[in-house]
Parts: sequence; structure tokens; C-alpha cells
Amino acid sequence: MKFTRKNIPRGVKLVKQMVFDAVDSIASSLSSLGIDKENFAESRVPWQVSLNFPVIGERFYSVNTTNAGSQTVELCAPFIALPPQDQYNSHALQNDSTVRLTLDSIMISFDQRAEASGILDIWKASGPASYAGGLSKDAARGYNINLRLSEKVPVAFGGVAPFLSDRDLWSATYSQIAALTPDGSLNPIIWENLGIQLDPYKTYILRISCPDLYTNNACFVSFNAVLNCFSTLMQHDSGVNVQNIPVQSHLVPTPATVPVKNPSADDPIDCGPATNTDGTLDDPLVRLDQLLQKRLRFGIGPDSSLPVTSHGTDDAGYEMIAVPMFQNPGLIRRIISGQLEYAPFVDSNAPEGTLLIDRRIVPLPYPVVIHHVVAVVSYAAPYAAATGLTGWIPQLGTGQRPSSETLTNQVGVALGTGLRGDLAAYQQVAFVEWAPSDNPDIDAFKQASNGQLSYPGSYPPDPNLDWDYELRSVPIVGAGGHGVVPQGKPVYAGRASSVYMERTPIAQPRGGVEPSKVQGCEQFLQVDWRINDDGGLAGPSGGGAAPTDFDVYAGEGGHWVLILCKKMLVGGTNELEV
Amino acid sequence: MGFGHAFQPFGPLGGGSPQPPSPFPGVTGSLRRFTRMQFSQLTGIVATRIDRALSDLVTRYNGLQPDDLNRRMVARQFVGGFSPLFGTEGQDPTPFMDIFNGSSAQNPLRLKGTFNECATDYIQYAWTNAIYFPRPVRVVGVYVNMMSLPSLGTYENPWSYGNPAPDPRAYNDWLNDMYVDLSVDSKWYKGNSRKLNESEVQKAHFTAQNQLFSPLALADPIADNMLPEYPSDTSWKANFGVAIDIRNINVALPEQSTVRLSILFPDYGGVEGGPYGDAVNSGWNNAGGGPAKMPWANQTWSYTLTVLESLT
Repeated sequence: MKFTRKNIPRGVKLVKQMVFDAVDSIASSLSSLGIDKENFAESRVPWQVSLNFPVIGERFYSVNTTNAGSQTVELCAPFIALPPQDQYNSHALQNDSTVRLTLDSIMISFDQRAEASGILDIWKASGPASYAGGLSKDAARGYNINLRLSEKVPVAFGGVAPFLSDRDLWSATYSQIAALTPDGSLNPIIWENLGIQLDPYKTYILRISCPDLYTNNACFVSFNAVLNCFSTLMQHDSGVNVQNIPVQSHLVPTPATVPVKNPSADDPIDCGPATNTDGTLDDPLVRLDQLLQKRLRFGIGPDSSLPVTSHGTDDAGYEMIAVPMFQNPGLIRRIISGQLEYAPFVDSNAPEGTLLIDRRIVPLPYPVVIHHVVAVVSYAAPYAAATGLTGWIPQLGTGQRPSSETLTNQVGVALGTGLRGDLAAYQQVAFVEWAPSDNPDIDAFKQASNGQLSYPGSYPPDPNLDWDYELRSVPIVGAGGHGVVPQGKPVYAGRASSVYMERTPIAQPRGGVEPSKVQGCEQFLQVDWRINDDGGLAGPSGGGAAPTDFDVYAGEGGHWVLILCKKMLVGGTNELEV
Repeated sequence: MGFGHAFQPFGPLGGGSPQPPSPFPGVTGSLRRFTRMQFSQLTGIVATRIDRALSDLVTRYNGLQPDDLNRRMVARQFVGGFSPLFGTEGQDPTPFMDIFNGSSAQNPLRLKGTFNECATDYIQYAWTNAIYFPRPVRVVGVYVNMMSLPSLGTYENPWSYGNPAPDPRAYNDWLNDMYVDLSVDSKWYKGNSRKLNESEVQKAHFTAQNQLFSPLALADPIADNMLPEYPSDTSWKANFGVAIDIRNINVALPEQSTVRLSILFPDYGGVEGGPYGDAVNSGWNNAGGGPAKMPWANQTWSYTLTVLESLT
């Protein structure tokens, strides 16, 4: 709440209201958690969409060289920044309480081995001992990058076929000349002060086009794209509407006490001294100044501790933890039914393979409250020409969205503990399973109208089912929450000292509501993605259930799991190190 | 494209009366943070002074600065990772690349402090990711997870040396040749020359035994709490491998810094056609008899970089 006061009128008797009303108002707010975001001169909270691609290979773009007339292929990274559950509106309506998200800058970087040089892709390496990753000035000619950020209305909020983006919000070009700067000063590079408002109910797509990569035998290694964003401050989550929240406080802060002693009605208004006389003018000013000197108390400690007393609750911001899955660096950079011998964690017990699994672990140095989880599925697998020494890297046909009736994808997110600890356990946070026939519930996206990234899993292709990427909800465990699909209430995730280890119950994945299996000792988030086909993941040539040898289980650039959270202010002095 | 705003080592204090110039940035000319007015014995009650003080008070509490808050940072996490695909000999090692660029290169050895006593003429591979921070940040955590399976034939790294082991290691010694480096270059104090990279955090010369995800044999029921379910083969369920968890490091970086996180391992040979053939054996090649002679493909890779950044 903004504070106001009237100037003291001249020529009238000075009465206490003229002096102490403003002081009282501020002291009262400080004593009732009343300092909010309106009182902050700067209240933007940084967050990011951080996208890590281990390798972007040349063959992804070979279709534009070999297939004249096709639209430019782009490696895409779709994402959505849904608002926290307490602000979620099923009709995609925003109001004053909806968090404001702003894209401020976009950064890209890639590894050039600290040289003004390009990196050779494996396909044109000269022999088995000359591995990919070789330095080549010529290869740097391929480092022309066209970047675009597009926006579309998700299917969940009215988007319809043909699933193309609605408009571009931003575009930029990175020239190969920049990559050859001797001191490397243009890698990383950042485009700043964009000021693009992000709608939390829309899908955004970062598109990466590298049209000269293939003809110059180059690849991008460790390509990072970071969209630096800001959110407005929000109230932090507290009370019973959060699962797994510390029982000790339920994150309900204790108001501070800021006593200000007013003089009685007709007492003289005295100046001082500041130390001992009630009702002097200096007394409240000193008290309010000392609060600033000692600093106002907000936020949370890394051990889930709130300040002993606080001055407000507007101390949370938005956070997106983008977790890459599969990603597929290696020989063919995609996982398809005809090349499963290259796939990770493929079940070796069955000749044709029935199972693919990938896992990421993300530490939890500071608490977050998880509001939504979104799985981003990539089927991006354009035609790739045969290459490599003596052509032993096979030609790959355009990938097809899987359509096996026995195929399932499962994505799970859990709190985990046991990292060099005595207690080893998981507590499920979110889980989803889908079959190819289950259309995506959040969104589907197609890169271009006659795009070459993938075919739908039906012939002739159905334009109403023709997309290259999917965004799917991974519902939070339990019920009573808000989201694109029914899901549970948000889940608190944070380390704890013993005082904060007792937590409120959390819904269990197999039913029931029980105390957390990790007993308040979570150390990390674990993200698992399982692709299973009891009939075999292989295509016809391998005896599996996939109808073709080009069914895509993970496209180039890989899948993603987006963990959408609220995070709180942290980092004060004398923090407990946990 | 642009390169950020003007350098402001200290944020403006904001609010309050205009302050006299101070020789010390960030220090006002008053005892008070929000006003220069003082009221005490021997000072007078003057309406203009009260007006000024109260106006300063209200202005300041309507425009609180991040500096007025005890906790004014938020955590940002940057996650990367992948599971290598397999293949036949000569498989693509990228995103890992040899750290030796060649004697005629600008940066012949692009990483510092990577000496490995096992050999002097070996190959070392590094996976380097760079993040540019337009605003000041504090790096607080680096987490690197290298997950393998004790016995499945894929991602099989026992984290020990085989037979023959590279000198001076012995058969069954734990691996002691991994390396994590977090270096910084900044326009402000190092220029952009990569020769002037400053290594801020190094984790080197440690044994894998001390960095195992868990020294305990994790039991089956642990994973039964989590979906997706895993096959009955217990080796799929538990986390096994090396987890390097560097926390509470508090590396303060100025604005416009580039942080480069490098993860490095050696290749003692075992890559057919490589310069060392099958001379020595270790977890990085086929010590466990796994299918891969490719050190980069014996485990899955993840990293998380955590920084704190202020409200703005």
C-alpha cells in the first residue's frame, strides 16, 4: 500500500495528527505484514527459460539443401509459463493479481574451444581417429543463425489446427563474422532491453535456424539459449493450500512489532532526545530509520526458516526450471524405431527393446513451491542425408509421430533424498501417462505449413493431427488444485533443518494422503521419462510394434520438462548453510 | 544487439532529500538512511523541517530499494544434461571435445589446472557451457551428476581403474581424474580474452569413492515410491554414480560476466583407432566389460548451475 501524507499547513497550530499520522500509518503497516510490492521501487524478480542443447548437428538442416522448395526447417523450443495456481483462470483471463511476466533479454552461447573457429561435425570427419569436434575456420562459415520468438494460442485456450504460430514477437540474426572475432567477444551474445510482455496463457516458441550449417560441415556444441525474464513480486504461498509445507509455520509469517508512541492530544510536540522520551518527534523517526538500517525482513532461508518476524508477504517471484530430457547427442541425434541400438537405457532383456528411460537430477539449494509441471515432447526429425566416412552414417527418412497402440509415455517428478545421506527415498510430485491416441491437453505446434520436421502418425496425413511438438500437463499429485487438467494443490520443496522437517501430508501416487516419504529431507528434484512399448519399440525391421522404422521417440533437441514454481527472496546475512 | 547498461557499482539509494556529495559511494551525508533532518535536544520544531523529514520518510517507504531488504536475492537455476546415444567405433564425442587445441592455436590448452599424473600425453575431453549474466550475480552452487548402472551393459562405469591401470594407479583403485571448473571472464576486469579467463571454482584430484551419489547400496523399495515404475532389475532403480555437489561457494560476479562450466575426464585409450589403443583400462573405457569403448558414453550427464540475483 502506498503511503500518503498532507503537507503541514502554515499559520495554524501544529497538532499531533500533522506529524504522527504518516508515522503511524507506516508503523502500522510494518506491524501487520503490510509492506507490499507497491512499496518497492524495484520489484522485478529475475527468472529464466534456460535451454541447453548439447549438440545441434548439421544434418538437421540438410533437408533444405537436398529438398528444394521446402520451407526452412527450424529447431524449436516451445514453452508456456502458466500462472501460479492461486492466480490460474480456466478461461485464460488475467486481472490485476495475475503475475506480469516480461522477457528482458535473450542470450545465446556455444562452445568454440576458446578459438575463433568453427567446430566440425562428425559426418565429414576424415577418419575414425579424427573425431567430431575438430577445429576448422571453414566450418565457422556455417555459423549464421536466425532466431525467432513466436507466440500462439494453446489448444487448451482455443487454439486450433493447423497449429502454426500466430505471430512473431522478436527476431535476430547472428552472423558467422561474429563467431570469428579473435577474442571471442561476440560469443556469448545477448539482445537486451526487449520489454516483451509474456502472456501466461500462451505458448512461446524459440526457433533456431542455421541454414549454412550443413553445407559447411559444422555443428553447434553446447548451444545455450537463455531467455532472461522478470516477474512481478507475488505473495508467497502459505497455509493449508500447499502440500508438504512445514508444519512449524505453514509459511505464515509472524508480524513484526514496531511500537510508535504518540504524544497525548495536547502534549507538546517535543524534538528529543531520541532515546527515552515517549512521544517525541525523533523517537518514531529513529525507529523507522533503524528498521532500514537493520533491513526489513522478508523471504525464507535455505533451511525453510522464515524470519522470526516479518514485515510483509509479497516476497515471491516466478520460476521456471527447464529440465532437458534425452537430448540425444551421438551418432544420429534422434531416437527412432529403426535405430534403437543407439538409444539410451534401452532394455536389453528383450531383443527388440521395450523400454527407454532418461533421468535428470536437479538440486534444491533453496525452497520452491511447484505449481505446474509441463512435458514438452519433440518429434523433430527431418530427413537427414547419408554421410560420414564412406557414408556409414545412414540416411534417415522424415520421422513420424508414433502410433503404436501399445506405446506409452510416462513422466514423473519427485522429491528425492539420499544424496550421501542415511535416508534414501522419493516423494512423487507429479505424474502423467499417455498413449499416442491421447491428444495433447495444453498445446500442439507445427513448425511450418508444409514443414519437414515430422509426419503425423497416419497416412494420408490428417491436417487436424499434424504437429511437430506437444505440450502436455503433468498433473500435480492429489486433487483440489487448478490447472489445465484436474490436479492437486501446489507442493512445497525445500531443504530443512530439523525444526522444519515435519510437513503437512501429501497425496501419494497410488492413492491416499500421507506424510511425505522423504520426511521433509528433500535434497533434489528427480525427473524421469519412460517410454514403453510392450510390443517392442522397434519398427518392422526389428520385429517391434512400431508401424515404421522412423517412428520418433525423441526428436532432435530432445524433450523437456518444465517445472513452474514460485520462489521466495533468499540470500540474507547469516544464512544457515544446509 | 547490445551489451548492457552503464556500470553502477552501487545502486542509487533513492528517496529522501538530495544528499551532499560524498567521497564514498553509497554513503550519505547523514546518520539517517531516509533523511538528513535530525530532531533532538537543542534542535527546533520548524514546520519546514518536519515537513521535509516526513516527506522523506513517506518517499522512502514508498520506494524501498533492494538494499533495504535483508533478503533481496532470488535463486536461478540453469540445468543441462543428456544421455549419450551409443554406436559403433568412432562415435561422436560431442559435446565433449579435446582440450588440446594444437600448438599453433590461440589457446593451446584451453582449460587450466587439468594436470593428470597418470600420463602426460593423454587426451582429455571437456564439456563446456557458457552463460552470460548481464547483471551481477552470486554463484552459489554447482552440481554435476554422472549416473551409471552397476550392471546392465549400458552406461556401465564402475568408477575404478581396470587392469592394466594407468601408472601410478592400481587395479581397482577408484577413479581420481575427473575435473570440474567454473571460470569467469568479464568485460570489466578481464577483458574478453579467453587467455585471461579466471578459474573461480575447481574440483580436481578427488577420488570417485568420495563423490558417489550414495556409498550405500540403495534398496529396491526406495524407487517404489516414485512413478514411472522401473523394471524388476534393481540396477535401474537406484541412483548410482558420481554426484559432485559444490554448495555455498558464494562467488560474486560483476555484471556482464560470462560463466563457463567445464566438466572434464581423461581418455586413456580404448578407443579403437585412437592413439593409445587398448593400452590401459579404466571406468572411462571398458573396465567393466561394457559395450562402449567411448568414455563419454559410459554414464549420463547432468549439471545444474545455481546463482543468486537481486531484485531489480
